[in-house]
Amino acid sequence: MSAPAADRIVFADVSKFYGEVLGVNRIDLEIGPGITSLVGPNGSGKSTLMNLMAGLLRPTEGRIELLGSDLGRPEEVYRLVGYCTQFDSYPRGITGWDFVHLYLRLHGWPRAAAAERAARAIERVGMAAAAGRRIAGYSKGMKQRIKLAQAIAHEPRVLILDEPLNGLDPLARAEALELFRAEAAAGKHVILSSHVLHEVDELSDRVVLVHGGYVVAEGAIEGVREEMAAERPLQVMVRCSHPGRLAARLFAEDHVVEAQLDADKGGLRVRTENAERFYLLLNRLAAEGAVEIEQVLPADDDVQSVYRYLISGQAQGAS
Amino acid sequence: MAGATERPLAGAAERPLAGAVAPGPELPAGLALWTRQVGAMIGLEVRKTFLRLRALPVIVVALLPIVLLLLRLLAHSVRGADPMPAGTMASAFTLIYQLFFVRLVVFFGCFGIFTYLVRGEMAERSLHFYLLAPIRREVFLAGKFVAGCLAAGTLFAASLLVQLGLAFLPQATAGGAAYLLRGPGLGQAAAYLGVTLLAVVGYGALFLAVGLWVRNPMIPAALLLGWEWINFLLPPVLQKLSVIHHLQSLCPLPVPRGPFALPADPTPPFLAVPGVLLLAAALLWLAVVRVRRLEITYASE
Repeated sequence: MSAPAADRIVFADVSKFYGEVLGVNRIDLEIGPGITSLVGPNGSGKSTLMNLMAGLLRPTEGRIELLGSDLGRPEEVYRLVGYCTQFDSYPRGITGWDFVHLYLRLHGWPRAAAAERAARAIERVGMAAAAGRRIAGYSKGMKQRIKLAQAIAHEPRVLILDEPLNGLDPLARAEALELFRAEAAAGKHVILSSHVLHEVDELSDRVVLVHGGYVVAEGAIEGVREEMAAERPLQVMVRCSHPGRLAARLFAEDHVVEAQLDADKGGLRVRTENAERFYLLLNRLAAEGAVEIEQVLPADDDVQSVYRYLISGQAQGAS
Repeated sequence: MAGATERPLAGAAERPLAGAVAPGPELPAGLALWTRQVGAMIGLEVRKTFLRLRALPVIVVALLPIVLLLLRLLAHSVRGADPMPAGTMASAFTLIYQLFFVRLVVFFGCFGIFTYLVRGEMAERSLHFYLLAPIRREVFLAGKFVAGCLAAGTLFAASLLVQLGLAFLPQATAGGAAYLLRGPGLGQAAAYLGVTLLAVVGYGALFLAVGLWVRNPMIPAALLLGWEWINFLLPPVLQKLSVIHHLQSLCPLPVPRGPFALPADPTPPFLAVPGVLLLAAALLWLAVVRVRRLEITYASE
């Protein structure tokens, strides 16, 4: 069941061009609550999508709705949205505390209430000790954290986080991921972009794969894989007792595209267009005693593999 | 691949909404909210723009007439010359004020302050700090303009008062103190102060709009400076299409206009003051039109 439009971020046939240069093209996308990751290489259009959804850019064509709000009304939109941008520039001379506190003052909070909220947000990102220092002297990771504090300080329903894990040390990363999970668990929309794919793989409720200004796939990670299966074979690693025998048997099946023995002769890598038929066959062969199965692993169920598949497919299509 | 197939999240519909921060007793609406937002902006602008090193060139420009008058005072003392009569000093001062202070100091000072307010932040890639806050764009612009006016008004008014003090010191001007504090000088000083503040509003609005519409404000600023400078050579109708004509009309004493000047009647105060304010309002409206459509595309700035 889809959530109501007032609880979704909707892109309807959205394109953005910077003069002659394509930002994103013909984007149809709906984002509900939970963690959604935009995945793609640099220049793929992730930041453009985020800036569009945050109202910092206007679409050249198409329509965007954010929880039913008109993006042309910043006084409404930015009460709903917290945006941790990729821009690493700040008003001159201000401290981390000022950055968050003044932002809340711009929201209209009285000084004391703004201070209380700023302190809470800064505490959540572990920057309380450094908040009194000027941002210009912060490390990359500290800048990321103070931006994150600013984004969450007014308790928005939508958190847009452009490469939020950049520059964070492992501990800070883990804390940030925990924070994202907590925000999502509270029913918020958490949209983040990253090219550190294994992180978003485990974190995300859904992924949006972006390449060359286009959304090439979208959905839950397993769903994206299934969506691809009709066009692209599933790759499975099988460790078994007689890989050669298994390969010969598999080649007789029309859905098996490739079966390649491992270098150590202890298994094989199979590519099939029909995962269900493949697994049935494998079970039958094991039951018949033709092979003894040690391990079966989907070789490409993580975002990285899916993404590699998609992008390589696009490149082949283009050449 | 077609992609973009909708796949609802498991349990998404069941999750409770966190809810936005609804404006409550602590978050007022309407004018009260805008006043608070503008107040916050002014505080930030004054700190980050005017109390920093980048304000130094504007402060130096504002100090130039003071330096000029100090040098005059020094030369006077060294030569041991008699103090100048107050009336003569008043005529000399209006020359300095109209030809140097308003035309150059206030003009370039406002250029430095008001073009930076938005265009400078685009160049420094920090404008998104404001544009990500829930502020109406009109209120954002009003906050910037008021902050600029406060800073420029304070700076140039202070400069003017020091200039008057130096010009009418008893060592430089015979009966200067009496002229300034109890004679016609007091009214003249008030008029100069009013003209200065009006110039800040007029030139401020002009440069704020220019900074928003034009990527490189130096070119239009140079053209405007030329227009204001050749103003006295233009036909009377065209003379009235300048800020300086209206400002000079409000000055208490006239300046000699030279043999090539075309005579134009000064605009009466009841037209000159609203005229400059209306011009400022029109320019601010143009700035609002632009700021409403403003996007954050730093790469193209």
